[in-house]
Amino acid sequence: MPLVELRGVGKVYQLGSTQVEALANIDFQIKAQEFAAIWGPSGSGKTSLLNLIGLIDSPSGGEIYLGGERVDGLTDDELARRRNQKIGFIFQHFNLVPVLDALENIMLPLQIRGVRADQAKAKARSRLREVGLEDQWNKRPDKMSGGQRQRIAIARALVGDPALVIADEPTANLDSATSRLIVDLMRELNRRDQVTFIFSTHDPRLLEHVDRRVRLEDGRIVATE
Amino acid sequence: MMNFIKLGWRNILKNRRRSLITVLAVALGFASINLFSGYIHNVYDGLAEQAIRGEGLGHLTLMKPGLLKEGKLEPEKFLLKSDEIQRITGLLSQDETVRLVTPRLAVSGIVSNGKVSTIFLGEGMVPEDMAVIRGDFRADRGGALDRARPAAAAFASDLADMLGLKQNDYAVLVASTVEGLTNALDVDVGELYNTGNAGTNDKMLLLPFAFAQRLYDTEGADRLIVLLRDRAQTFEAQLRLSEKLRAAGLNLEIKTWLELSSFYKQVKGLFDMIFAFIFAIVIVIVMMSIINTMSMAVVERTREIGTLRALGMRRWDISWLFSVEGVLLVVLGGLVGVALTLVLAWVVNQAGFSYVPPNNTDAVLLQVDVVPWVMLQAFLFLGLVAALAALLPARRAARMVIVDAMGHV
Repeated sequence: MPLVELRGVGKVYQLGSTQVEALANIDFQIKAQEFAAIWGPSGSGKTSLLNLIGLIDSPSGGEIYLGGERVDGLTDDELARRRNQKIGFIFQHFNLVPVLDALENIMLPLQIRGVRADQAKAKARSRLREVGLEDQWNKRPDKMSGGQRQRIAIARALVGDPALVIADEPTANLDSATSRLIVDLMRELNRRDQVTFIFSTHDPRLLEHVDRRVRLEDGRIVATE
Repeated sequence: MMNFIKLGWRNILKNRRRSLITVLAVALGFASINLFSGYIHNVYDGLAEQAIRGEGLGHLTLMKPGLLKEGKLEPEKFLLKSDEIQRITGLLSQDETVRLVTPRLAVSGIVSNGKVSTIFLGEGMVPEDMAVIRGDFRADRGGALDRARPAAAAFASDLADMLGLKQNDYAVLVASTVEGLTNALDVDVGELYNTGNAGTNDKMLLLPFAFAQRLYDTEGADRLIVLLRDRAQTFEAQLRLSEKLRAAGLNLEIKTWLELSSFYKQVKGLFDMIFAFIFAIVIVIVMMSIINTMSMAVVERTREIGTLRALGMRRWDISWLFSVEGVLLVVLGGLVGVALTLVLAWVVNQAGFSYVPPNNTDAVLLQVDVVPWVMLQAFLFLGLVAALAALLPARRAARMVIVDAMGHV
């Protein structure tokens, strides 16, 4: 059984009186423990596809399954719960909460889940150690480099032991050396923790490290390698 | 909840200047409410004491039903006879909340200095009981009756001035007895006193009770005044004593000082209206401040809202997050407001400002009471208003489409 399955999924945005078709008739599966990349030029629909898989946007048509459960018709609260329990997010702009320090940012998904503060703190510390920033635990995001912020974001994505981590252009705001480190880190965590990673990129250098590449153009899957 | 408080607190600190303005707006509004409510609390307390002790109304007044409406037409019909007075006094004195039961007789007529005359309103009261009712209330105003001088009346100062009377002079009182005959008695001028009210200071006389009885040629009284040990027991005692009298087969009306003091009711009605007006203005200021601050916070933190929603926060949690922040601002404003209230109240009370209220004959000190329970009520109400005000922008934040919020720049 695939971890994620999309059947005939489409997404149309309404921009004023104009309808823009971002995705059309997508049939797509991701197996558990995969390390997959969605790539393609800007405007090809990569982010729209990840938003649908990440349950932060709803499709205009088609069906979406997560772990065998159909999720495209769930209520807003149910979707929030699935996101919190099954999905980790890594964003292009890191999206850390500026008033929280590194450790508190990592604890967030667990605290939203209702985990006790001491348990959440212990788990967050462990993830912080894995991304090599244990000594930076009390720094706020504005005191950290881009690479450090993204590692904090990776730790936050993984702290709740999700089945799936979605990373939208995770290296777009980083230099090449840091990008390489970030991809290596995600790859290591994918292998060690058997977490499924799916990320979008238009950087061909990063595509060498993935199990599978899905190429999007004009909202359609044109190649899977 | 702890996380919401932590997030709210840190965001308040992050936007120090904006938070400070909001906190000051809340603090000033809250302090205004506290100071005005403290002032009117002091005024109400003063008016209550004036009615109970100054005017001698006591806490409760017992009379035959209809006295207030028809007592002037048929005074004899409404008089309590001496055996009734004794029986009622004995019955009421058994109640542990009752400190004193004393008879009264209201009289009116003409007072003359031998050359000119004018009308008077007199109150016949037992001198030693009157001293108990007065206590130490405004002893500077004078008006005590001397038990050793059974024919000496205390004259209101404007009345004495009008007739050119001084202490130890004498005058003549002319009145109709309860049977409608004319009676005249010589009266010594005892203490001169200030009623505190411009409307009565040129008419009032305080007479020894026995003297008033002689003037009206009766052995009865038209009222019995009850002084309780504590003003707070007034309404409870009114019910209990009514029940006790009814059980004893006595058909009597019991009025509280509040029912009989129309001046107190009028002033309270006026001040309550002004207070409501000020309170409404403060509420609007607090609401607008909170809505403005929280709306700006929502706009600035739109991407953060999207992120929190993506991480699994429900819409309701987002609403809570911003509402808690709004309430925190009011809590801070409230604490600053309490400090401001205490400082300003102390300054006003120490300054010794005085003023002459409408219809008063002398100046009164401007004093502000610090009333914790009123402050607490106002604080809780403002907190509720702040939560509701914060809820408007918070709901807008909660309803954002996640992908739109995350794409916000």
